[in-house]
Amino acid sequence: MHSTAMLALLSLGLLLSPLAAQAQEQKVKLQVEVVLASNKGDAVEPPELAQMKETFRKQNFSFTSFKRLSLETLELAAEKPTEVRLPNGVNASLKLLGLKEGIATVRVEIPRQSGVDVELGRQGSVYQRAGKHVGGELILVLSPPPK
Amino acid sequence: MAGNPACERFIPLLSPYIDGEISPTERVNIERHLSACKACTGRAADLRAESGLLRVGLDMAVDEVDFKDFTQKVMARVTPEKPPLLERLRLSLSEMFLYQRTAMVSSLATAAVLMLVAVPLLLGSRAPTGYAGERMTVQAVRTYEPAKVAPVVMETDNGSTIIWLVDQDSHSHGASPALGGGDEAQSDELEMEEAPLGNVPQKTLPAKKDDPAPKGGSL
Repeated sequence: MHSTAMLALLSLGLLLSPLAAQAQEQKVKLQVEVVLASNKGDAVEPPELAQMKETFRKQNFSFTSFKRLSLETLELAAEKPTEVRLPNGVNASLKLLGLKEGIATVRVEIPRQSGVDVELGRQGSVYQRAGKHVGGELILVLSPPPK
Repeated sequence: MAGNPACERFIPLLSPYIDGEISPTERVNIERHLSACKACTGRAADLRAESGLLRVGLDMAVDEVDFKDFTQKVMARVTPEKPPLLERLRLSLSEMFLYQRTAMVSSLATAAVLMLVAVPLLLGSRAPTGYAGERMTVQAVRTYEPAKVAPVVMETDNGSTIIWLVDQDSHSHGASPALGGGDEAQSDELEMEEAPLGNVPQKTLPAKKDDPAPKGGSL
């Protein structure tokens, strides 16, 4: 009898645990990449950035070189902004604005420059200019986290 | 001991005979001997009397015993203390593997195959938290002081979005050979190609009014 009650409690706990987890702090993952685009040379490092180069070329940007400076997957929460240190000394700030019907909205702010609100989706990336650096342009690339 | 030599054979069998522990053939032989031997008949009678006395003595002893809660007391002694839940689970599993090994192994193999098939399917189809949307969508763009720039939002054919900040001075002056910073001197202002962004979709996004610092927000 006692063990039956224990098993029932355990089952109830297991059933309710996802709900409890959901009730906790909402978080979303976002891949954030910092790329330096410039006309110095024609290096594309790593080679995966060739797609980004092509995307920019199609939009009439004439950058010849794309170099990845950092790549990280961040976990964004609503209460506390997450900062990404850019090579030019600026701290980009990312924050989860909300989560509605499974779609998260994230605010990315680059002080003294621009702020962007982005609805996250499974496809595409958002390329945000993040200031100048060593003769090129820093670009913040927001993408879905790798599976 | 026995005058009749035949008695020596039958005397050891008398006690089992009285207790009914003898085969029918031997029983017939003993009864035949008893009918002819008074000494053995007397011995058998003595044994019966002893047996009766013993029974009466045992009955009297049993009457003196208190059988109240006898069942509970016996069951309490023969039933071991209930082991903890985990121990019982472990025992159940080990017994299942011991007595229903084939069924258990086949069930586990089926479950493993199902897991191997289902988990990648579920994980593959399930988008991470917050990614229910089809594609990344820019909702709003704002600029901050002291940057004198205007945001340009370009949607690409692969579902991506480029947010570029065009220097308002160079924009208003209509300057521009090549978009994309070259050396340090050039990178101070954003320059456009001859047909800058002319054939690509651009959109104007509202600047947020609730933000203290924003300026601009349109193309």
